[in-house]
Amino acid sequence: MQANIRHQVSPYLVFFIIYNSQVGVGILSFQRTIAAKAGYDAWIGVLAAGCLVQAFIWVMYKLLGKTNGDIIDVHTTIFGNGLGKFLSLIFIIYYWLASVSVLIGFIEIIQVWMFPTMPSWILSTIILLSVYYCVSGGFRVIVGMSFLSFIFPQILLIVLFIFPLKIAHFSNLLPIMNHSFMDMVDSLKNSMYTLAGTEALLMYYPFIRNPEASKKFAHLGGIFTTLLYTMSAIVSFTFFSENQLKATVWPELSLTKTVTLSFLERFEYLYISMYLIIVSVLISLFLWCSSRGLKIIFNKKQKHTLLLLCLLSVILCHFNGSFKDMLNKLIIQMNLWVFYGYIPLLLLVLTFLKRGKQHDE
Amino acid sequence: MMNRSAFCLVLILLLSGCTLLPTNIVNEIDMSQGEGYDVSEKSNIKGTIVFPIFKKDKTSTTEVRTAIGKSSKEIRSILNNETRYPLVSGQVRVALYGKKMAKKGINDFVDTLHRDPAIGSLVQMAIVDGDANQLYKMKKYKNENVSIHIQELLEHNMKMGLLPQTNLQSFLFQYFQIGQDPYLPLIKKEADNIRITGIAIFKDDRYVTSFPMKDFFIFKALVDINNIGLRQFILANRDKVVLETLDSNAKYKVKIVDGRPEFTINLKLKTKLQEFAPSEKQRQAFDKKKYQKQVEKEIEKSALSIISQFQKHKVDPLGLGAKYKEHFRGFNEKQWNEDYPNVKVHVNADLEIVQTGSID
Repeated sequence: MQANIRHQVSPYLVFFIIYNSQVGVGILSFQRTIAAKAGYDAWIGVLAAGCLVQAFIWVMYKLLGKTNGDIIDVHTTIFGNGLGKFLSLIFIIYYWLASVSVLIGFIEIIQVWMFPTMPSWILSTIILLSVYYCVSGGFRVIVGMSFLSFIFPQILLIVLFIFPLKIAHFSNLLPIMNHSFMDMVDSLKNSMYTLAGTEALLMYYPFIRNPEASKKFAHLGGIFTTLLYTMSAIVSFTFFSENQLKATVWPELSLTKTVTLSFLERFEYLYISMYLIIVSVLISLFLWCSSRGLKIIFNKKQKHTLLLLCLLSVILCHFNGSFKDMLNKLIIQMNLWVFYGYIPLLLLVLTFLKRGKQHDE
Repeated sequence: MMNRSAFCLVLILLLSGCTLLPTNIVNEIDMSQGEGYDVSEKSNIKGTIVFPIFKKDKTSTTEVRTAIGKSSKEIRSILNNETRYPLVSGQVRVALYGKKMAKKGINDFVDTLHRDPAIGSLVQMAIVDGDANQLYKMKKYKNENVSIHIQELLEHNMKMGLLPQTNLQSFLFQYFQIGQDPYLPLIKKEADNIRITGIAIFKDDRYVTSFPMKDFFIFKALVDINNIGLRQFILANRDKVVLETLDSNAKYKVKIVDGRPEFTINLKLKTKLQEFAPSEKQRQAFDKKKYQKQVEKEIEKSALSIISQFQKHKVDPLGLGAKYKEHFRGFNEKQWNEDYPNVKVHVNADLEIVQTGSID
């Protein structure tokens, strides 16, 4: 079921949505997690994960093209109304938890780097207020914001890599492929999590005008983020020695400590503030997905479901520490099984179902 | 309409809430710009903190305060009891360590520099031949800011002079790198001056040895890319040649012979003739080819002598172990540490004198 044309966006804008749904707080810290086992070969894992993401985008387009609606439509056509809605609810919860984990991750950064005494609920309220404002403007506003966040902070942040590259030790990457296959799989698995986010397409597909034409932009967006992550991994691998990286929690932020401009001695404060734009758009996108899902399933106004989710997020943000690790683990597992296991299966089932129906007719 | 005004109200409340943020107003804090640590009695640390005091319509002065404690942050809190404003560390520019302290290991202090997100990674670090405290307390620098003086002294020598690039980040990189040992500049109070006297070499975080200025040129050529620096060569027949590097590039090659690594360092230098004084005391045209050969030999000799010195002390500031690890998949750190003192190193210098100035 396609959305009203007034609410739809042009196909090329899918590039920016895909980019923004993949880039969040993960890029500030993933270098360390992927290098935990695979060492400095981990950048190969990022590239491999990027290939999987491409395949996943292809699968999603195939699946959604068959019903020409979102994931809830797919579920109801296959499983009927009751079970279909229940299965969709799991997806909705995933989107919401993903947005909460991004929010918690960013709040932790603000607390460690900028305001150590600031309580979480104030920060989460301030961020969610702007997110609420953005989401209540509708999907087109979110897309506009993600276009903006690509143009303004992201391009600038890529240029900043010049500073660490000036003192890079490229020989750090040698010898290539010095780790066992299982270690590489571990880095692949961890990169899958940082590259996650394209699954939001399952919700906003009906909002794309002419989805066929948007395919190539979606794939381009995936390629861009894969290259961005690979570059970011290589820059940190050449800048830090291996054991130093393993001791650094946010390698990308520690990198920006070397940036000094004549009028600004410490760049990382500005960096974190600029990052707020990228992060808040990501949170908006995921909260939009989950609130729209709840709206369809329970037949409520999206304003109310959004408000409810925001309030619940503020409460969840107050649980730091071990809750955060648990949440991240849950999301990693869910992302892997639900999206890379269940969705391709769903495509198979739907293909057979359609074929069967054609025989019946 | 109602909704919008309610939103504005919330916004106003939130923005006014921002005044509750902890703020640091620049003339209501004491920004420590230099830190120094020396050994004291009973395994205590003597910490020194330098901070400027800004006064209205007057030139600013620097305060040097000392306290004795167990850790650098304890020293800070002791000193907070006697300063007018709270001490903050966001502007630290130099961290100095007394030689005796460095011999015990400086990891405890580097940890807090590394950990504190308020401290930048371009902080200059140096070892003091003597006491860091006395260096900071020199009378000459009472009105001039001593920590900025030291920072700029080190930085201009790294940029234009013979000192290799070092700072907190380079120290941490080398400290954590497997198969490499860190190095830092060594400074000393001489009469009424602060001078760079050598380069201190570490094993892990402990000071082991140092080498004097005459080896700076070759060391910088071996560890830094694109270095600039002046070096005088007095050749066998007492000809004096002074060269300035325009561009240099050291390539390390590893070969494994009988299960043991052998290193070949190909050192490429592009230089400019700065001064030429033949022993005959007569002006003569500069014979490029002849002198290039002779100077190359000089360079190779001094490179080998400095490397054998490192091997004798079992320190590896050149990172030969790291280079070995890049080329040999079965790298074993323990085995390497045993092999290192006897490892064979060859140096091939390739010197080119590209310019002779406005005369030949």
